[in-house]
Amino acid sequence: MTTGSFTQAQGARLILQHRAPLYGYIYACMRNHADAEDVFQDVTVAVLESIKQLRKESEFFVWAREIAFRRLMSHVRKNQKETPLNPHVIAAMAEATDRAEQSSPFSQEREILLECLEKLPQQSRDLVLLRYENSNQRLKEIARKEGLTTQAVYSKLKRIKEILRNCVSRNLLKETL
Amino acid sequence: MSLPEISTDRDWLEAYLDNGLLPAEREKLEKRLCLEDDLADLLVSIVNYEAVIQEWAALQATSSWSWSFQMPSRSSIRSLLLPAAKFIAAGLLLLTVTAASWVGIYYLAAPLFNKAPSTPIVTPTTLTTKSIAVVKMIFEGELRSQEILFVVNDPLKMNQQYHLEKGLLELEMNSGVKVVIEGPSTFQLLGLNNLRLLQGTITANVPHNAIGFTVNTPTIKVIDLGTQFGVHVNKEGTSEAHVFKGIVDCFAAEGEKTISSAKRLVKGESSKRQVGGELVQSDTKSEELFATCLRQQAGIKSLSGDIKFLPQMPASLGLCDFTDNNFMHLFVEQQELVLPKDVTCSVPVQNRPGRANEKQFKSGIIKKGTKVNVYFIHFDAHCFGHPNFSTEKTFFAAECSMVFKNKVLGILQTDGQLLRTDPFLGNPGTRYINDKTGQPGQPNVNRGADDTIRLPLDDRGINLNWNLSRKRIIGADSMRVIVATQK
Repeated sequence: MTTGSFTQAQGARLILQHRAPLYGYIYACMRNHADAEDVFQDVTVAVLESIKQLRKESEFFVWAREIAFRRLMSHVRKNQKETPLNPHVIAAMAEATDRAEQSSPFSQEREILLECLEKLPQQSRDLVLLRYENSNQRLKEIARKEGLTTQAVYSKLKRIKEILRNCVSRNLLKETL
Repeated sequence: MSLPEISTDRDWLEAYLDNGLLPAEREKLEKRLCLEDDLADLLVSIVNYEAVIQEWAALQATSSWSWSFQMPSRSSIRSLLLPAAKFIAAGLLLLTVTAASWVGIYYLAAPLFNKAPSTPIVTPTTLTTKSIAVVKMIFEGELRSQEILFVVNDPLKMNQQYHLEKGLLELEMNSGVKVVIEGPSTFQLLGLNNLRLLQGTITANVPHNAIGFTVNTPTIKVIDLGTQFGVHVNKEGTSEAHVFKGIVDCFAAEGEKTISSAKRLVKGESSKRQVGGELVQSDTKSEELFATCLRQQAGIKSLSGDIKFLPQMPASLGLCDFTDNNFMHLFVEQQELVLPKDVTCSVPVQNRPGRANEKQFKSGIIKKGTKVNVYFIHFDAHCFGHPNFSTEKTFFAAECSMVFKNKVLGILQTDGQLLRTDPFLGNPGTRYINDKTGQPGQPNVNRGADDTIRLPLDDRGINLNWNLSRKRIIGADSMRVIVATQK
């Protein structure tokens, strides 16, 4: 376990290591990937700027998440009219995120999920990419492009996510046994 | 409720994330999130998956076109290995920085400085076998490593030393960083997010998921904090870093070891260090030192005539705020923009026979969702009050050609078209209208271009012949050009 003064390179490594739950927390509060990415970038810069304040590597996640919390609250104050965020939800999700990371860090699940994504059939991969790549297209737009109903796209994505969850569960179980 | 099949808590939470709930439903769910730990925990699980899927999709997008060209060549066989390499890359991304120190790469840096560019570096075979970047483009040059010639789509390996004698090279690191290298340059890829430049000129575009991208040179070390920046190393090892967007930290370094505290550089700032010297501000003009790389990164193949490309847009392009009697200026307003709405503009007439006076454009629409680069061309002569203003020379002409990597989809050349699109196609940090041009929405804003605008037959460029008068009225010539991002 690393302790003491951390360098920015170490900070960058820690951010990458904890990217999913940190970004996930911000996304849960913002509910928009483009905005979440902006806030995540702000948080990253803030974390790297103040990385010397970190004392123990084991404290990194909660410390960085706290920075994210403050950034989100600042966002609430500045942009309340444009993007109404609920500060109570921001606080509740902070607790839930910390709870989840303490009980079972997401890093192992992340690796398995990436493997499962690679195993998806091409058609499913294409649909996931359409939904998440850059523009983060809304279901209606995807449905129009694919010549499907919104409900059909929603159901397909729901099914793909279910397949991914099952895939991760199976592989986690295999690694536990 | 706007989405179907909402029955479980998971469905409710997914609809919540999709902003698909009615206000009353959202409020009710948010109240539950604050009171029920299990529901909040479920949302954490859902968003963690969302974060990884988003990360995976971004990783696919950064190298998707390298898969799309399936040709039966050595390159394509190598490209088939890319998914595996990328997967390894995703897993190893976490180890970017530490990997370098495991193999003691950095201690090799100091002796390298005095070696000839072609000197190979011996490194552990376990790491040298990993490909960590792909050649995306080579223009008027040859990329070699130990006499092996590399071509487009070839993967590049860690620790191997590469030399580009002349021309331009575009690389995409597996971390998503896009690097443009201008020859003559010699470099090594030290890790998944780390490059050593021994000599030459590079610019790097770093996406947020690759923050921490590091460039080592014989005398400095530059760590990116989410940005676009350039590094130049001359034959003597004197190195300089220039920031075009965002922030970097620059250290004086000898080999692996940084020997100074970080000097933080923001947009427009630079730092330079010669062997044994201190970090000082560079007096070299960024746009000149990195002109070729920056143009390439901006999707511009070539420029000729009375036009200059500037990588950074000025704070104001209002009338008389950014003037030049001799040159038009070309700026990139937005790159890789997904159009948020349909854009009505002048689009190229298809299948033109190429006659002298044929119609080049017609009214058309570029559809919402199209991914584009947006450029702004600006020609404004010195106004009354400027030291170079002359009452004798009141007529200014400029002629130029530009070639883009991809096709021009449309142009916006009237005041109305420019005004309507400033808010979403323009650069957010630039003011386009000032008190000389009037307020948005008013007529006679007087910055549209109505002089000669011609397209080459392949639509991949624009030829302009613009005239400007400073006699009775003040006005500028401006035009917004929308270019496709893919072939």
